[in-house]
Amino acid sequence: MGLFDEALKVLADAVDRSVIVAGPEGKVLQANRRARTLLSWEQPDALVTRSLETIPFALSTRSRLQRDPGPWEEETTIEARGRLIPVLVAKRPIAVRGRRAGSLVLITDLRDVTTAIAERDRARRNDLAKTRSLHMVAHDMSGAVTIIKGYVALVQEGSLGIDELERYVPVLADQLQHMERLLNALLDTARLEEGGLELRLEPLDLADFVEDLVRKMRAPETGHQLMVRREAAGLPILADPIRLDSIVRNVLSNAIKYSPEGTVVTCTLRLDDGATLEVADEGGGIAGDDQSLLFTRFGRVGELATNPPGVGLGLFLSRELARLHGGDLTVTSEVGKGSRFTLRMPLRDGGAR
Amino acid sequence: MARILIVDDEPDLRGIVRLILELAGHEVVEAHHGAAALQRLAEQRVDLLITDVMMPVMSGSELIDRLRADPEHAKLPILVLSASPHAVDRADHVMRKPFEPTHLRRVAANLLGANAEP
Repeated sequence: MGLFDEALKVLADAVDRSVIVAGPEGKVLQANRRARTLLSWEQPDALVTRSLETIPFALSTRSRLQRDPGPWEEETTIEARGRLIPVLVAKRPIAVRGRRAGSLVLITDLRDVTTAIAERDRARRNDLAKTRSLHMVAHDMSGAVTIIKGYVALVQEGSLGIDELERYVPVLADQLQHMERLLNALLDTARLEEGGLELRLEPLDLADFVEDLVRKMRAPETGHQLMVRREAAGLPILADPIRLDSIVRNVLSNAIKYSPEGTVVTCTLRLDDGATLEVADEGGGIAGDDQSLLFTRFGRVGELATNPPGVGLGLFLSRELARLHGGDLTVTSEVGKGSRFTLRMPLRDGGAR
Repeated sequence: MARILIVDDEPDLRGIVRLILELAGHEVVEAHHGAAALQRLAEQRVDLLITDVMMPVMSGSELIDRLRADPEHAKLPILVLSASPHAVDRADHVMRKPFEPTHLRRVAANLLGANAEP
């Protein structure tokens, strides 16, 4: 008695299933905290009047609890707070000095189990997706490193004069910038997970910004045409130019990647609930189920080896960045009719011109 | 003189590979994905194909499958340049990016065989 009994009570309250101790006639003697919550036996004297047969299991389980001393276990349901809950019930006979003294009834809430399994599966899928997206980033990064390393090595071995190298400096600068963008995307993704991402807001005009960016982008060799349609004179916003650049670039390169060569990608700038950029492509479109995958942390539609490479975290990061600005990034698409990505940013105080 | 076809969707990558090989005396032609490469091969004789794996429209793996199934190109030497850890087994050689220029020239020379001029 004493310490051991108290320790057993503490232990019983610590387990994540309901534990009930009943006497030989099925009278409830003890129930742990979990059981009292499940069965709404919260009043201190509630146990006194209870017996196993009053526990609201499915009828067949109730009669088995009465007549079958056990040991046994079965899946059944229990009614708790007006809801039917799937549970696993186990009954174990307890004998004291060889004589039947009572029984132990254990109830496992199967919703907890399914949640735990779902959570574990989700974590595993997320891990796999993370690995895959690290491969993507590494792939993109290794291209840039190969190019820069190649020119430097040619100079080092004397095949390329330092004066001849000057011609390739714009290529090196482009590649370094590309690496910097990948690095920023990785850092921002990490900062998002830690909750430490801070924007550096500046007043700028979304329409001018997008027009400039499209002008600066190299004409894609895929023959895609990038068209800009301004339906508003000005779209004044407050934004972090580096993050806005990353969002717009991402949406544009996505449109180019997933639509046939030689087709048109149209950027429409308009004023509605806010400053809006709409990027429409003439691609195959995205099925409804896949649309929700687009913005998951590491999701990419149709994870096939034949798919064009791309940073898996691109759209997820872009949407998060847009939301940090108080805006949003959404998609509407229909298979066979292309996709339309919409970036909506809040207008700067003072409104539109 | 050997003619080498470089297939990669990144123009600057084709640029550095081209420069390395041209400095070694080779002639270089380019394609930006597998389908464009097939078109090139239909137009002109090529002695060596150097290809990336992950590309839009037609990947390097699909390109290699098609070439190996085509009697005219079944014996074409193929070098895969890839950042991916997954080797493409139907290629004659797989080289990881990034690589050393000297290494690329040596492998290209080996694949071109003894009768290829450097």
